[in-house]
Amino acid sequence: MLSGNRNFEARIHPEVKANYLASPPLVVAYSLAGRMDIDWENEPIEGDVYLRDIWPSSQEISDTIAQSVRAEQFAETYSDVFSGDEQWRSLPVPEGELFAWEPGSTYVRLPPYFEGMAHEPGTVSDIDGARVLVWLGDSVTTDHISPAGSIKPDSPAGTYLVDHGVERKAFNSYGARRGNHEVMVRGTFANVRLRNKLVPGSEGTWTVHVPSGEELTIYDAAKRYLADGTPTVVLAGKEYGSGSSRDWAAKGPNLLGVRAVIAESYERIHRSNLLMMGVLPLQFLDGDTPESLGLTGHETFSITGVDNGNAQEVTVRADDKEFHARVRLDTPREREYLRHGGILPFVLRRLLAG
Amino acid sequence: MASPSKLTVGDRSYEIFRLDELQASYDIARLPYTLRVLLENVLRNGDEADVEAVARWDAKAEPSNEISFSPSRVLLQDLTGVPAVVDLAAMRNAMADLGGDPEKINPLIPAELVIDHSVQVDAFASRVAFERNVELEMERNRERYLFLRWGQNAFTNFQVVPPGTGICHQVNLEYLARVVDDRDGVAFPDTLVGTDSHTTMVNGLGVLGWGAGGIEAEAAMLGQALSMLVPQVVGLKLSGTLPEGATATDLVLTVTEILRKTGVVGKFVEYFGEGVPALSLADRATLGNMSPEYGATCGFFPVDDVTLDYLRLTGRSPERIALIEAYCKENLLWHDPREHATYSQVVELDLGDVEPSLAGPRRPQDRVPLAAAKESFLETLGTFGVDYANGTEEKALAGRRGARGGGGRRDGALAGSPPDACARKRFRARPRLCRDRGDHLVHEHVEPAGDGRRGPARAQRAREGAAAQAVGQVVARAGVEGRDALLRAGGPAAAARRPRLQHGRLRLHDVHRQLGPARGRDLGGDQRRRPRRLLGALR
Repeated sequence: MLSGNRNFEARIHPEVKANYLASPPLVVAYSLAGRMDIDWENEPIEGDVYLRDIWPSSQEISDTIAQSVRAEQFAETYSDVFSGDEQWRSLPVPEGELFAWEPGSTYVRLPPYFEGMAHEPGTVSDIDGARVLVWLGDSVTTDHISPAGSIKPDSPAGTYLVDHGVERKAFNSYGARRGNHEVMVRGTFANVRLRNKLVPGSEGTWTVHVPSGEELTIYDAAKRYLADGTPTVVLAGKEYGSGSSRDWAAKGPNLLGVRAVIAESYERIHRSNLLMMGVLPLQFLDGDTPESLGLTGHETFSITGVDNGNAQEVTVRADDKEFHARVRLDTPREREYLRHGGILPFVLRRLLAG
Repeated sequence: MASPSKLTVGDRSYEIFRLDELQASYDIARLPYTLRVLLENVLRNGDEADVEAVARWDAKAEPSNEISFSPSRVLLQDLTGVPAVVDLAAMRNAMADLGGDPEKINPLIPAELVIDHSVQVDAFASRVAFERNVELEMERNRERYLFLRWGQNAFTNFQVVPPGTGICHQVNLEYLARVVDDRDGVAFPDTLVGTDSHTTMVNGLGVLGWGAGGIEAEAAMLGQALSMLVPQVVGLKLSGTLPEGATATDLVLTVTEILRKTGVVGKFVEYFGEGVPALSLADRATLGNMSPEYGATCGFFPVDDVTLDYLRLTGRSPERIALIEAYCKENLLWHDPREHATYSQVVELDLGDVEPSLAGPRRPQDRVPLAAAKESFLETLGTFGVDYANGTEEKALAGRRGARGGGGRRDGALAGSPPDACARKRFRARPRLCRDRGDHLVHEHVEPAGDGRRGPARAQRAREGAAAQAVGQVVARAGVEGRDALLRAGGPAAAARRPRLQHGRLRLHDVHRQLGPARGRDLGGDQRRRPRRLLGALR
């Protein structure tokens, strides 16, 4: 029993199957009864006391509120709200206009989004010699792309943490490690329930490094592609990126070297997040699917006719197969973001100029 | 574009963008309140196409008109806020590397980050639990806390609410929300995006906003307008009053059930009608909070006297409140319960029909009337492979094992206790009543304000009592020992005067009272900033 607002399975605890939302007084009542199978009307909570005997009247509730809640309490609480307690105030806060990034931090690290950034924006160019990093089906959520939960010890992120002296019990969650791109990029596509069609029947963060045919984690494969300068693409089904609007579901693929996603359709916010992180969102023409086009995911992909993002459609060649895909840059501003390599460089250049 | 008009409030004068000036060209008066807020936003910040798109809104049409929405502030919580501030900090580095001035990198609109997610329960059911939790919390969060403290100093327009203050939505409601804001002499409706999906709680206060992703929030912080489609707006017409015994939770579970059936995904929901003035701010905030559960982008209550009363209660300045009242009345944003705007669809609810309810076992929209709760739970047990009628532990556990390939005592206890006494004994679990920081606040406001056991510093967390029902801050695991554990939770000090359930003596709202202070005394320390998060069975 909980007085919260969400009760999907495993939300409260991985092993709790049934979770009921109810008002706080009912939650307390169930706690008092100690069981779920109580008929409140006909069974006492204890002795001869029934729920109706202890249920407060609205008058009692409003009297309690009237007695307990006064404006001066709020005024006092919030008079100094940004100062915090002594422990908070006594933190040795680094100073300076630039943050003194701690080289050893496993929580907060300088992300590489701006490395090698030029003063002038680039162009949205054609993509040549690309490989499929991962091929996904329908309704892939942002939690598949960037899970928020626990970090598995044998996962790339877990290995990274261990290598950096973090004990397993101090792993914390992906959610808490979002300030460290090293963890987050290793956690991209790391959902244990991810199904990658490049590795049929697999579940988890597995893919095939196509040139070698080796089965690797998605992170390790991406690292190899990055090392030899091979751009990558993601193939996906319908409603790609549904679920909560999670920025790391776009930041992660960007850092893995994914240049474009080709999906049957997108969840609106995720498409926008992708282009804001400089990843080109493309869409199969209506009726086309990777299967109907006969793709195996093992082809070498080229995407031509991008025309600096101005194209409505591009030509995709996958070995001997050729098809068209829609460019899902829907407004002039979106094309502008992509030319800059994403919204962060876009804003930075504006502020640099202004 | 529109030129601003003057609004004088007391001895201050503001510029405002009047909606009624558009009435000559468009039928503004029919627009729902939420769209009036959007219209003001694009009138002030957008271009003519944006104004046209909102002003000519077709209630029945599928949304297709994209506009640029410029929220006036951003609300962050720590998990999503840290990477956003990391990006800003990285931009400063990049700015320096490119030969620019790093101090140019700042949020362009107020961004407020409330630390409320980094706190976890590590230990429980022991005397040292509290101290251990605080210790672990600091250990685990130190690097991020230092970083955020740096950000607070380094950036303008960026403020951090320290851990232990409260849940971000509660802090937003009670303190951060401006309702009507003013900048550079221009007054305008407060709007926001937050990096938490329950940002919609503040919709109950007449503030339009919703949850957004980190990148969008960063974009908004950096002064970029967010593109959105002008949505359909579903009106939920309320009549009557809540009956005796029904709570805000019962109301929101009922509304969630109705709106899930209606289908409001991607739409705005707006509450209207004669039932609205009877709903307290806490009721409204509860309905706003659960917008993601019923699927809507927002669940909005326009400003009225109840809003102003709440703003007074929570200590907003008289000048601010005067501005809010004058602005809303002047600019078509003051709620008139007799008014019936045009909606894409209208759904009706008589508040008098709301009954005590639960929702589950796994979806908020699956409401179960309390009267049917036992029966419904027994059916649910069946779906988990537990045979209640012949409930033996072995069978139940076998079912669990069969279902999950594992299982154990805890599973069984949590799935439900079979009626058989032996089985029940084996099914004993250590029950816990966990209350997180938000609940701590809730607990405080059922303390009588004048209670001598609590000084003003302790009592100051008092919140509007009915907000207890607003969000999930009590997590109770009811095991068969639940009752005794609860009653023992006061620790040895309380044990001598252990309350027993006696007719007419112990009321449910007293249970909270019995639990809190004794627990607090046991812990000592800085109670104000270190609220007890655990009330579980102290042994």
